[in-house]
Amino acid sequence: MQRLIGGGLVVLACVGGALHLTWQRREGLRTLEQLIAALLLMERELGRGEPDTETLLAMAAQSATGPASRFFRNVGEALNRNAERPLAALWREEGEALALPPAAKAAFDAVGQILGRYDAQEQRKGLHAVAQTLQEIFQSAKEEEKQTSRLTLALGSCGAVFLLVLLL
Amino acid sequence: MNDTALEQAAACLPRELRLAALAKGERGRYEEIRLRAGRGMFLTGADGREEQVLLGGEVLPVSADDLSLVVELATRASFQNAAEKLKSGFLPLKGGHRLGLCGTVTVREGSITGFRELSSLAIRIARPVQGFAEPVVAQVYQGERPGSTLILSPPGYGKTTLLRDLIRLISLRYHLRIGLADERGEVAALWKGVPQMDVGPTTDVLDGCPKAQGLMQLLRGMGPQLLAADEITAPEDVAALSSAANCGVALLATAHAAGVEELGQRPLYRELLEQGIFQQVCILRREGQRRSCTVEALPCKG
Repeated sequence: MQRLIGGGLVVLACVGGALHLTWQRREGLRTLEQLIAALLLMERELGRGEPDTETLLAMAAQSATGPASRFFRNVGEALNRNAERPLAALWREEGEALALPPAAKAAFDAVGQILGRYDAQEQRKGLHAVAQTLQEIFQSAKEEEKQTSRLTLALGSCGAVFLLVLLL
Repeated sequence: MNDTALEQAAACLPRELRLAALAKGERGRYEEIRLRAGRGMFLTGADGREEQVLLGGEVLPVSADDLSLVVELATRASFQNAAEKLKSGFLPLKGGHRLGLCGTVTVREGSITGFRELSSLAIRIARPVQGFAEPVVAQVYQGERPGSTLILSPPGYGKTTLLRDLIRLISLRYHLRIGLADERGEVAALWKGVPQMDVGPTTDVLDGCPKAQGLMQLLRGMGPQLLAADEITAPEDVAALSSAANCGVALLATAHAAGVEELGQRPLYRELLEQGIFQQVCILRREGQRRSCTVEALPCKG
């Protein structure tokens, strides 16, 4: 009986671990998707009434959830504190917490160099270009994620069976 | 010496530069802070002479990134809101100070939209001069209402300062509803809706709007008893002033001319005189460091 319970726990742990990894990757993708949507929202809003950057960041924070929302809120608050530091640095630092893939992080960091630095039209162009790059990264990451999820689940299940055989 | 104006103007400088400027500011009264990439920081005294700010005897390093950071801090990382203001030649700062920029510009449809690279900048420190209009305010405001007055002087004599102080005193003493069309933000220097220069408690300010449109907007929307505008330069301004005068509103404006004679020699101002829009002129004169102003009645028309 004890062996059966132990075996069950091993299976659960392996499959759970695989599922957790998959969930983490999906969360990363969801965050990336939300960041893209927020950038496009900022691009649209800049075309409407040219709100200031603090307002733009607040809008972006409201439109997103989880880490993406936290990111925009934190940057907005840091800017509001007038920390005598460039927005690009605040953006880059807060972006560390987003755990984006390196290519996406590099593209996303560029927004900090664009936002609030040029007139609205130039900023819109820049935001659009970054959003497009991130969209491409997102699409390929999504494809990759599907395959990786299957592989992770298969490996997790095989590992569970292997441990189960060893244990029983 | 605690120079609040300098402190306020230096608030948009990176920390090291700000501290150096304030330390030097303790030893004199300065009118400008100038930063030049690769060449350092300078403070301009009242005599127009620039003094370089040194740190331990060495030139304080100033980079193009420092200049960008100044703009970022001054605009609160919202250049999109400031780009329009840049067309008038400077960015307004909190406190009524002005930030002028130099470098490689980006131009779209014939207008400057921003800077690709900055090479230098100048922060002009605004220092309110109160009491400047004291000798003439009683002459401008005669009896029940102020007479429409045109302030005249060559450039640099203090027309805007006199206009601002007249507005302040008329508002403060006579509680008149004043509408101010502040096209370039030089008179009231609005910052988040609050005038940074004292223009009195009863003055409504329309900022950034072309003068002619602004005067009509104020006339229709705010019901002013006195309309004020700086620098009459276009036929549309004269037309708007004429409309306002026909509505029975008193006017206060400025124009570049040394006196009535010179005013009459220019077609635009001649029209102003012929229409009899203004009842009097206030002429600013300068003898050495001393400035004086006198009010003269204009000949009555019609």
